[in-house]
Amino acid sequence: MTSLNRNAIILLDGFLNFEYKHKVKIIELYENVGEIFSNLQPAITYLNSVDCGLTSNALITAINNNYVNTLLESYNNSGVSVVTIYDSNYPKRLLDLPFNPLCIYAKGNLELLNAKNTLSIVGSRKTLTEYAKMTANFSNTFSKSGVVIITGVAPGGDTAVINGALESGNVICVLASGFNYLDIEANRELINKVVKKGLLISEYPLDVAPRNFRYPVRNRIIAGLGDGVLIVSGTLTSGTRHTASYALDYGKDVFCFPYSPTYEGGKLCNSLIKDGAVLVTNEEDISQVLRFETKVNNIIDLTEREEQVYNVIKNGVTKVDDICAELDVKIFALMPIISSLEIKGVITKGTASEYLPIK
Amino acid sequence: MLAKVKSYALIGLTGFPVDVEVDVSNGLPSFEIVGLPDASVKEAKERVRSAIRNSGKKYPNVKVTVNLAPADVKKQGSYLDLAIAIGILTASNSEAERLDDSYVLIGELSLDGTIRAISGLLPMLISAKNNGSTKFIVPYENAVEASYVLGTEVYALKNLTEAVALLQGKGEFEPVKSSNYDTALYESSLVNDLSFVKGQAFAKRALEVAVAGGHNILFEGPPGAGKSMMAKCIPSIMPKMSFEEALETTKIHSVAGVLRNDEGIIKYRPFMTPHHTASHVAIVGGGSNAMPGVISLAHNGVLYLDEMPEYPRKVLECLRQPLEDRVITVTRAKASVEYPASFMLCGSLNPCPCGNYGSKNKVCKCTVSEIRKYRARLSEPLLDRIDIQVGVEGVVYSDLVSTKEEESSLDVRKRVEFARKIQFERFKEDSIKTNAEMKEIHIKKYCKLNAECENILKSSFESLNLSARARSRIIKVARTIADLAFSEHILPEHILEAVGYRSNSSR
Repeated sequence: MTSLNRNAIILLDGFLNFEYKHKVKIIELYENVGEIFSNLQPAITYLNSVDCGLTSNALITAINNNYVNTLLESYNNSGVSVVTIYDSNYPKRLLDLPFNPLCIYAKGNLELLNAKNTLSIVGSRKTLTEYAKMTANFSNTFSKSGVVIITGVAPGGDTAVINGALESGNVICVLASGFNYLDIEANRELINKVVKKGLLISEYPLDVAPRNFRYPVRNRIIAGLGDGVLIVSGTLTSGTRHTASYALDYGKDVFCFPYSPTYEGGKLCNSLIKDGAVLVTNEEDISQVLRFETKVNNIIDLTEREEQVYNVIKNGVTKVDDICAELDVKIFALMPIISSLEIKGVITKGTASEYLPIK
Repeated sequence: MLAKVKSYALIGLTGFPVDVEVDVSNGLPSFEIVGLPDASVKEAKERVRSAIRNSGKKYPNVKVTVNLAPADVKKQGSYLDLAIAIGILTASNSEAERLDDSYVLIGELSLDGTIRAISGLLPMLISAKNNGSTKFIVPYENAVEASYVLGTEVYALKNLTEAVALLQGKGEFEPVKSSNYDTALYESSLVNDLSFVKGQAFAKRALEVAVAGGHNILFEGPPGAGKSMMAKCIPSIMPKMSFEEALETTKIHSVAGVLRNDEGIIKYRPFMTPHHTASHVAIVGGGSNAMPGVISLAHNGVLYLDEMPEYPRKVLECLRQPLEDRVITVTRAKASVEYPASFMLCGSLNPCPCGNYGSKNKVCKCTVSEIRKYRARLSEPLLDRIDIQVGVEGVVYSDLVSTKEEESSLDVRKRVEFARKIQFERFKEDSIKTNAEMKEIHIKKYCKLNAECENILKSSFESLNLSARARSRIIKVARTIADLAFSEHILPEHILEAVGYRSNSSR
């Protein structure tokens, strides 16, 4: 029965103009939706009674022509696997959610769908460099310890997450369109790496184009798949706020980086913290709440001079001229130390010609 | 009667001799010029006729034929007027005594007989002198320019009457006195001095390194941070031009017609800032006369492109070749002229189209794709040619009004000149002059790195996401930093400092 149910849902999903709510209605008409192949009548009656983007004739034709097999073949040829709610490897975290995706189209390592520990990390496109670097570090630390990271594919925050997680491959990227339509902004090279080492998924069949409304809809999957959600950045009107509110609806823990009070790009994070999200300054803040066993390597090997400069930077003196004044050194003596600290990964050059600590 | 007078013409920056042959014979009055004269040369007919008459000389009312040899090369410009006039006077034998024909005559004639100043005299004189000519008559207003061509006897005359008198051996005429390329004058303070820039230690250091090694530099920062101000200080810290460099630069400015009469020779390194609406031809050179463009006018100096992404893509792309080869070939229908274009490129860039990205208090209204498009105007290959990128931030008020002594341009320039001397010695056998021009073969020869330096380069590649081409850039800059520190070998701290001047963004 499972395979019939599976085929039925794949078939219904193959009609691109057929809305979600109607698919659910059709499923409810049967005890097992697989029965649709032998008993079309209930479905036909329904389709005739509403204007839902699918005519009964189209359904009849499709079934008669074994359209399901055509679909399955095309998915196979593109290297795409389909995971339906009837399959055993459907992510259990999504089963309990209202309006869960009926079919998940996937490319890559399907085992990641039911990982023991997951963490969703999202951020806006205009994430500041220092926060992006920190995000990449977090993503790297958690994914290396076995936690699967869930994120989108946008430039900025999401890309930093992916870059950090690719080393271990424990990453799932969720698209807001079909695989054949990568957003113009998307970094194809990066997405190929995700397919090779991690997992790329979408609830939309191959030929669905990206549209603005699909992004918040996709965000529910990101929120649903994670045991917790880390919001890295966002203005009050950023799309990331949808992910945060889904997380709250689903009862997931929300984590945020804190920002300076006046910075626009961080007002979402600050406001979430005010409403109860966990303020995060290091990985332990997350692993303690979610009970992950993550080993964080905080040992950095610095020379005495480097330590001196690092401390000055940690204390808020971030512009090169000011650091020179503070330590009474000449610029050409300071620069080599700064470069060395950058190479060791403890500071980064911020968006505005200053050096900021990231460890 | 036939007369032959010597003159000169220009193709690009090279002069070539033109023999003005004048034949006066019986027949209906006519005046023909042959030998591929262009429009301005053809008009000489009218000017010459009036000039001769108005100087009180007799104009022959017979058939006059002028041939400008070699006859297969196009002649353009108005400076053949004087030679043609003298040729006619000689050929028509209207002067009682013979005119000396060993002089090279260059000059445009006014209707009243005045010899007018011309553009391009300096390159003509230099070529003529190299070809063995020694005696010249040139326009009076070009005297200062001519005074820098040593080893010649140049008479700068005011009008046709004077010219005739000189050539007849009458009258007292003094040749132009040779001028000394007086480098002492250079010390006078220029308006844009580094001591007026408060703070900005990082940017100033980057500028010093850039000028010392001839590296191209890109300033990035919000509007009003001081990028243009820093850029304008560049000529004040560049080493003085040698006489050869000054001559080279003056030739180009002379041909372009932008040399001031009293200037004679360009002493200060040119600082060219073309406007965003300048055409591709204006920047690179061309036009029907194959004139040098802004990049050639910037030869031996600085080309400053303020707000680089605002320049049309086509203009930016056409800079790539000259940045690589240091010359530009301007091809027109009948001629292909090569102009030198060895300049230091300085550019400035805002962080985004609105200028506020990264600011703590101002909001950036640009979308991500707008920012991406803005930055993408500077193509990867173009950025590859820029060795040093540095951020310039606005200065806080307290720095602006501080009375702390800032280093003057003179102090910086002294260090730069030392570093340049080291490079001069190093590259004696090679065809390059500065570290920035080094190619792989020079890097191998002059920039050997010890194990520690190699390790640092390796770790920086891994942690900082550098590209392969970044390696040569960093090594070249490190070589300059080592030179400024009087160090024969490149040390780890030099590499580390050079790493700090790499580009911000990874695309």
